[in-house]
Amino acid sequence: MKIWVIFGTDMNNTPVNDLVKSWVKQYSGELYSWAFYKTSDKELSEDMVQDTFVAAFKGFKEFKGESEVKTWLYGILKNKIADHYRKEQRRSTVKLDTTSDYFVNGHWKESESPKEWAVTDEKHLLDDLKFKSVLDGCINKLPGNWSAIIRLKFIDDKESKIVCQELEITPTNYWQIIHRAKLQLRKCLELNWFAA
Amino acid sequence: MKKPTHYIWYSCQRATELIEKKHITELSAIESVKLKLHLGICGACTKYSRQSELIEKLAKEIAARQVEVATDLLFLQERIISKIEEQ
Repeated sequence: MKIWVIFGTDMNNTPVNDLVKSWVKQYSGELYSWAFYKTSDKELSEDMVQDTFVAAFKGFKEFKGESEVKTWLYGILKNKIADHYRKEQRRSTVKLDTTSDYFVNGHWKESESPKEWAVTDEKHLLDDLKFKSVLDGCINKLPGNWSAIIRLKFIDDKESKIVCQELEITPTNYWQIIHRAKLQLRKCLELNWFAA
Repeated sequence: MKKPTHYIWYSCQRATELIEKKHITELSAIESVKLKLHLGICGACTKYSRQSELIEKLAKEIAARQVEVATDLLFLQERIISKIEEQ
């Protein structure tokens, strides 16, 4: 009980410990879903949710009840996710192809010029497990910042401005990355599937 | 001085950049006309444009198909609580 008195500085006089624990019961499920939606990674999401509550516990004094608990927790988690993507971007050592791998004086290099693709059933391509594994393989060959962009751009359907903010890249950089990644992805699919 | 053709004719590199830009934002009227003009005569970029669109569709579909992998919530909650108690 003594410890409770020392900790018991919150507005309801409930021990902080108990209060944060009740938040864990109440919010961990939806925070996990959200983290998973953003990262598609179970373990990473669990760790980030855990870190969120630990940070909430440690930083409890900063929470003055001005925003809702839920909003505050989401804010902490959101920063953790953004940090994760930034780290991944820095860590990425794989280099994207440069445009000069594809163009000479602005013209397609002969070997790189797109070939006709024989696409028979576009709508059901992804149901073809062999195609799906080729596509996954091609995406995995791209550097980390492109996978972060894919995630933010397609899964969240975010505007490019927000993607740039979250990844701390300039809009010009964003275009260049998308363009180069698309060139690389296109080539990989052509070599491994459409031309094979 | 730039070649006079520069004003009406995009290079393939520039055209493919604009094809990507178009997926994300609207092109200006001039960009749009110049891109159409380029695609009207450039077979390689026309193929690129179709393929780029297909890749775009596939990526969106993958995102839509992504299903949540459930966590064992009780286990996770216990883990978090014991972590908090360690603090």
